[in-house]
Amino acid sequence: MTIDLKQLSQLQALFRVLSSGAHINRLQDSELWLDLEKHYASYESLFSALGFALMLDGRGFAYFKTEQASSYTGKLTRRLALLLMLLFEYQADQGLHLFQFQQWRIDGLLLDKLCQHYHAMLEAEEMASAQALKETLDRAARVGFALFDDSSYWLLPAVHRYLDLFEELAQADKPELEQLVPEATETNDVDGEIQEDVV
Amino acid sequence: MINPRSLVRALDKHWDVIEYLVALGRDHIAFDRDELLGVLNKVYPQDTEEQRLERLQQLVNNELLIAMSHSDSLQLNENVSQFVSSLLHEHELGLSDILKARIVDIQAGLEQLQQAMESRDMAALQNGALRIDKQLRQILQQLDQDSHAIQAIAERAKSSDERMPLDYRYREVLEAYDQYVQPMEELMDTGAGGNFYPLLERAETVLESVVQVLTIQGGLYSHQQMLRQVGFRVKDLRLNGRVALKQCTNTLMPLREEIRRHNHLSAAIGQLLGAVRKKGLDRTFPGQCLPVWRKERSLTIAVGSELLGLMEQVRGYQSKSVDFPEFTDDQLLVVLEQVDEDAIHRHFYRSLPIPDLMRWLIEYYGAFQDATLLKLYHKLIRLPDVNAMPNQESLRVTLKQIAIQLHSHVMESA
Repeated sequence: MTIDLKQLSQLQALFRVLSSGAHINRLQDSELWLDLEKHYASYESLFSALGFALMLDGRGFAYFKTEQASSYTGKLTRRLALLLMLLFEYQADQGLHLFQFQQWRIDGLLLDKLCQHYHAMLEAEEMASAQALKETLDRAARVGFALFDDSSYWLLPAVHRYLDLFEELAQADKPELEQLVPEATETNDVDGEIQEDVV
Repeated sequence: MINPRSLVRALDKHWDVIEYLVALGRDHIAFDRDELLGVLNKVYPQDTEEQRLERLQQLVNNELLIAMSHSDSLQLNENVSQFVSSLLHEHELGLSDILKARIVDIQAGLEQLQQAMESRDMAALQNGALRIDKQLRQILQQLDQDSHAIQAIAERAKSSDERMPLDYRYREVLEAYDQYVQPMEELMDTGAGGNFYPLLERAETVLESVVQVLTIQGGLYSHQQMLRQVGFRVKDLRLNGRVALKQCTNTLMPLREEIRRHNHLSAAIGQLLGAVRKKGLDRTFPGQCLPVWRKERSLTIAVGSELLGLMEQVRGYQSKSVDFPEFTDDQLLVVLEQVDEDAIHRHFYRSLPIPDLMRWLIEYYGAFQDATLLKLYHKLIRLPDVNAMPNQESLRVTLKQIAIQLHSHVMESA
């Protein structure tokens, strides 16, 4: 396969953003996104030859996949995961539609409420202040999970990476408690009753 | 009879399976052998079958598991089960009636305190204080456990299958609300209806007055100290009671009022948050399962633009030749002259009076250039200790290069 580098007009900008660890979001980085989508095959093979795994998600974000995290990103991603979970939990309690998260205005008021509601859990991670939450969001904004605009934060499609993980983990977690029964039924008839109870 | 040390040691050794069994214990009363072997298989997949059997035997020998009466099923030792549950924040919701009973007991304790104070019975005073403290401590613990239990109920409701009918899913929530939160709210009502806060206030005033009496009339320091400590606990409870109840209400309200949105995602998040509450964030997201991104701090050292400019200049360097000025014959327009002004002044003073200064200057110093001569003229007429009077007649004098017309001054000593 020959790649015509002249066609890849955004190559430099794309590589700079992606290799810095940031996510590209369709609506925010539309120029980069359009070019990436148009010449996806070329970009992908070019980057993979350089040792980068380009991931492009149809929900509107792209990033370089990597397995290793520095201690800095390891800590940040954990904090961000907690913050996102609490935010989604809170918004679900308010009756908001969770998959419209891009329309939520995350301002100081909301962050204060999160701090009050989930004080114990945030305190365990040493982030029980609106300031700490803001810092986490600022850092997330730097790698393309959020956007700071109009003195509020807005989540970007790249957040789907976390949401997918939450569902996946919860799925993996659930059968653990119930798996006992099918295994046990093989050996013992009496457990049929228990199985019914659980299901 | 259980040997406490060996029990604790066995608990440490088999912690993983005990934790698992406690989690299962919510839905099961007892386990039979095969079920337990199945659990062991899941928790310790690397064990061989023999090792599993041996482990099961150890669990029984150390009395972590004990046989149920009238059956050969095994159940968790109740002490172990309670201890582990409280460590893992797995609590059953308490009864609000228990709280009421404790409140009654505190009231009795307060009366005992007052009576003991009147009759100066220090042993009874101590007993009363201990009795109140014990109840307060139990209430605090119960509130803490109950709020965890309520959160667990909410989490179960949140994380249950979203296709489940609402009334089925919320049964537990509604029960918890009606049987626990509402009675508690009535109890803790800060208004006229509740009797929890008035009681705490009374406890505080009674304790304070007793301490005061002891301070005035004299008493053992340890007694005063003890009463003060009970007072601190009352304050603690006053603060925490309301907070705990508010948290319970906040947790249950969105479910009870069915405001909360349910879908796959909210169910998953509810479940994970429950795990975070019980196990902490690090144990909920083990290893590298969270999204990560490259954070390469590529350290490239580049030459700065200033340095580049400098290098460019160095490369194209050409020595600059400076031409020395060539010798020119042109006379300088102004020829410098040496004028000994002091000598001129002395000569001038000697020659006073001078009827015509300009003529005098030309006579003696005509060799100087015109400019120097005129400068001398102006300096001399401004000398402070001479009188200079301009002449009536104007005079025309031709100097070397210019001719001037002036009223020359007459100089006299002042």
